[in-house]
Amino acid sequence: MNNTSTRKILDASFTALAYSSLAAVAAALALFLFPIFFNGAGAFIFRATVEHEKFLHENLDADLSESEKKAISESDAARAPLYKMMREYESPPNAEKLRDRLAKSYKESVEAIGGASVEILGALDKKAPERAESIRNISKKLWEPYLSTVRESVQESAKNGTSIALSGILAENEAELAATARAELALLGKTKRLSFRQKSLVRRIVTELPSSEISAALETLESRNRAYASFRDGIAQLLGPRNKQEKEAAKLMRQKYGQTRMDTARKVLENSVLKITVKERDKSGAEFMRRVSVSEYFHGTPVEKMAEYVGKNADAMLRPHIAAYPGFLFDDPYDSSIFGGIWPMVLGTFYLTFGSMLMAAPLGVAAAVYFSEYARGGKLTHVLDTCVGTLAGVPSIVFGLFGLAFLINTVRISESKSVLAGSVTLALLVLPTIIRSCEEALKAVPNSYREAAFALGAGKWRSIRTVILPAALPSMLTGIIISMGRAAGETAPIIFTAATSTGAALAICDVFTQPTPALPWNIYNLCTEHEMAERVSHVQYGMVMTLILIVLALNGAAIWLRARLRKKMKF
Amino acid sequence: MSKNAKNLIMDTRRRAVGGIAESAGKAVLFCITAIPTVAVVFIIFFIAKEALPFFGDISHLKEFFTSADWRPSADPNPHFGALSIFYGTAMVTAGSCAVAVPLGILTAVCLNEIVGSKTAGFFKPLVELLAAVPSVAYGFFAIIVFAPLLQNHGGAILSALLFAAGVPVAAIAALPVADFVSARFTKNARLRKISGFLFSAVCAASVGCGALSLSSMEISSGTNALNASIILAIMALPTIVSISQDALASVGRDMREGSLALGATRFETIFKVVLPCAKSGIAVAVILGLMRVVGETMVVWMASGNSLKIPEPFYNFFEPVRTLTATIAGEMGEADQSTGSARYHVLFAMSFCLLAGGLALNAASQWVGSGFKFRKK
Amino acid sequence: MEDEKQKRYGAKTGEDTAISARNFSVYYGNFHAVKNVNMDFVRGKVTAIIGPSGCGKSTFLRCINRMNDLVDGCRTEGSLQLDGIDIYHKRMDVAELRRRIGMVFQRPNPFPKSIYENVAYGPRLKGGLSKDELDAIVETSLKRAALWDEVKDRLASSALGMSGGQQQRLCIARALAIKPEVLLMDEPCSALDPKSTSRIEDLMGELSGEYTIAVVTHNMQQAARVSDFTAFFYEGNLVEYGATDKLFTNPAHKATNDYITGRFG
Repeated sequence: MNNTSTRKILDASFTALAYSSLAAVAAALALFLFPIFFNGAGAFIFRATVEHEKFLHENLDADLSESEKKAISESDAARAPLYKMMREYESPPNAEKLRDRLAKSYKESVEAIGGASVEILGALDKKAPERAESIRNISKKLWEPYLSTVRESVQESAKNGTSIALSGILAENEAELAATARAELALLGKTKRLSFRQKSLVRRIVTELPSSEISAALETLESRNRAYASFRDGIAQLLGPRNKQEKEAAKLMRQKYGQTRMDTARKVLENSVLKITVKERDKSGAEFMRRVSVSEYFHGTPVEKMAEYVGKNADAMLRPHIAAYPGFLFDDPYDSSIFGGIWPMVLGTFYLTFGSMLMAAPLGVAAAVYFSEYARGGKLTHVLDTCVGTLAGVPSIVFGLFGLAFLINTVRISESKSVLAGSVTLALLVLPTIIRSCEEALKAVPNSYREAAFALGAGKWRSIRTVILPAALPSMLTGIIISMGRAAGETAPIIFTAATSTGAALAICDVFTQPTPALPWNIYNLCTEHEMAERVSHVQYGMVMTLILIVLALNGAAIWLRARLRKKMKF
Repeated sequence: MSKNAKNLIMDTRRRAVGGIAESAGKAVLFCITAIPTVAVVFIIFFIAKEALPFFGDISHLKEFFTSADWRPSADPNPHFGALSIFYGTAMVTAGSCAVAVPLGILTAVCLNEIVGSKTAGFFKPLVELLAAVPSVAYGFFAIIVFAPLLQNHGGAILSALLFAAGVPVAAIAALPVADFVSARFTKNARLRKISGFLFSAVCAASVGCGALSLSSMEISSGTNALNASIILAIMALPTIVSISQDALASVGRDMREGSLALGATRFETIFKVVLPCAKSGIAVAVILGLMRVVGETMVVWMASGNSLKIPEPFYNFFEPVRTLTATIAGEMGEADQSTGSARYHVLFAMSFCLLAGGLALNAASQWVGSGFKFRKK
Repeated sequence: MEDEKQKRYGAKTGEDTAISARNFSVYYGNFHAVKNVNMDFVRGKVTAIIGPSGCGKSTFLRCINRMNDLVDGCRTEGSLQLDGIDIYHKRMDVAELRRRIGMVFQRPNPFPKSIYENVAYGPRLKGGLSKDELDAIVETSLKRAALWDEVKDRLASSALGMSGGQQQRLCIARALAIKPEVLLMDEPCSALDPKSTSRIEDLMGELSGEYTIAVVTHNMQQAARVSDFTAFFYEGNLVEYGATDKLFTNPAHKATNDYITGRFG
């Protein structure tokens, strides 16, 4: 290539390319860390609702301040109208009137049947084709008063908000039909002895038409009631149980409180309260699910008013406010981490990390001392040295399997997974790194220190202990702390040896026998296997941020220590 | 004769005691130092021991490597075809290397050769930061942040990435080609320059159009081979950058000065002198990066989608795949751990393959790196 | 033949000999670094060892307190005696030997500890000293090394914060603190500025008499200034050894003459 300007351009563009690669790395880091830190901080400081205070007060013995008490009572007051509307909708005051009306028309129809025995008997005697037709006509005529009432009340129910009551009454009526048919048969039996076939025909005449009409009406009502139920569930999710009885009946903690965080509350409001999923049938009769807005679906009914009220007064009912929740770090999780904090995981990570360091650090330092001070480069030393490198090259999941196959299934250092087994596995994992960094640190100690110590009459061990180790200490500590960060973040080795997804904080005396929750494993678990991933989103981010912060803090401490002690004892 | 001669010459007993203490101490240290060696032997032994019941059967062995039918717990006819799993591992590894190796080496070159020590001092801790982040955090990012992004705006993201990376590379790569070709036809420098620019512009434009055409693409699932590859590449990046940089730093200053003094541009100096000198070190960096990728569990488990199908066509990175590590991690929990079912053993067979691969890569790195002394991070 | 050599290169008879080498050789693997040296160090005097780089003078000096044990593949032949005791005796207590024969190195090498701790390091190794005794030892040693006045107010501060000359005097104080009989100095001023050098030279003059001092130096003026006796090494051989004024004014060998007049080296 001898074209000078092309060469220059090539040079410049290559430089630009190299710079952009640097920028890409920085951008990757920023894009990675930003969402984690931004959302992670949201686990500690967020817009909370009154439910948050209620939860803290009732489960974690937090005292309520006057203003919080006031906020809770105000939110209760704001909820009262909604609950009243809902109560009225579920058991309307005019339900009795409706019941009477239907009962009356039912009775009317039944009496008419009683009066039409002759007609029925006559129809029964007819020949096959006309018989069915005439029986149907009689039935239609006889039931008309009742059925028209039913149709009317179904039509009115949506507007009056009596769907629930009506479906109850209709179900009762439907149950009565059989008794009515029996009574009618008894009546007819007095006049004429009926054959079995005739009996069943009569039964059909009496029940078929009303029953099919009633179930059609019930289907309409019930699809509406199901929609209402899902709306009501949405309200319960948003605001928590309506009263004490409901709260006591609730089994899961998530049923005892509404949304504690405003961000999830908004989502619930959007997705489960103002919009719901309804089941519908298409023309061919196949069921399908449809998302509808509550105000459209319940247009012109009391439910529309409820939805409107909720939409307008959500803030008044939840009282959003900025809350700091440092307890996220120190509280136990409740109900699959939906409430509370992450303390057991933090503690478990702490146990595993310190446990592994307790083993790996002294062993690593000792081996490094051997390599740098005692080993004379023979074949044996070469083998030992190579194996350190080889151990560093073993994939971390293989360490986990080894821990399972050897420590737990063969040596049986514990009955099942335990912190001990996990710590030993992690210690093996970080041992090569520690040995290498300590060796490095020891080799960086100037030989003149050794000479000076020997010249003053110190023996080998004495000189190592009093001069070389202290001089190498900062660098060794740096290496050990960085390895500690690695041990804290490793997941694969502890899956089969130490980690459990649920459980309370482990007491220190149980570490030899019990598995523990740990941050890395629970992050995985919460991300992939949680049944309500949306509600624990903040916990996921909070956990990841905590883990990254722990690791970064350790690394930062190491860097700070290195810089500080380097300055103090420069060599 | 000195007054203290007796003190100077030890009696036999004192000497023996001293000698024994010294050798005992040394022996203890030796035993501790042998722990990694013992651990390596034990790991190989125990993994092999648990894998043996599976490998002992030849028919199993053949199925393991040639079939993609993986139904390890089917009763009564379990199938242990791990081909798709091996293929998934290879695919994700190749994908992440395609991203991480050029980017890593370029970054190392930039840090070591182009920017000043101040800028390098700022960026190096950032790279170390990338290395310090736990793998599960990367996995979290992959599945919670990146996967939905890829699923919803995958086409746009890819086209932007390809545009940003591909267009300049194409433009630069076209220059020497154009120069070389035009030299055959004309001696006119001006003409050659213009033709070079034209060709480079055409190349850049065609790559750019290709990139833009991607923007309308639909990606059915955000957890796929591409996601895992990109995240793994970010994870392998610090290893590649820091070791490559050590390799570059170990190339003497005199080499560079010699080249520059002969009138070479910085680009030529880097490509013709520095990189060839550092190539064994860079090779080590790549191998160690590869090791990190192959052995990584959490990211692939969370990001790769865990599908047992070999993607169609075979280079389709938008399909979910499954890797060895993810299979082991995912299925060992379900396999009957203590009694040792067939599934338990086949998972150990898998990890044996993984271990063998890791050890081979490790040996390769030591063999390649034997000519080059580098600081191991 | 031996006796003749002895007469020519040995110290004058009748003077008290601290260290004596007889047919002493040092090998690094196959390399014969010091060849059949016969030499006596006179007690209480300063003996300078001069010679060009790589002539074996440092090797010889480091053999006297067996610092060469630390070098792989180093072995010795012949005899080297301290007060009539073979230094390479197989039951020699090397640590104790080094306490008798102190050493100061080419570059000041204080430990990364406080000034006090540096001086107290040697005495502490032996143990059994009270705080007061230790304080006294530190004070006298620093006084002997002419450092006390400069550092008495900052004994607890790091030794690495001192100047090079101070550090080297601290190393001398540290060596003196274990009360040696002999003090070996391996080019003690080569890393120092002229002012510090002259202070160290003054110090050597003050210390002679009480200590037998062997100093390896590159600097012939220094050898002439501070030493009572001078030995000239060349290619592993002890070429000439005698009283300093005689050697510098009237060398017996051509090689010595060439070296001190600056023809090589």
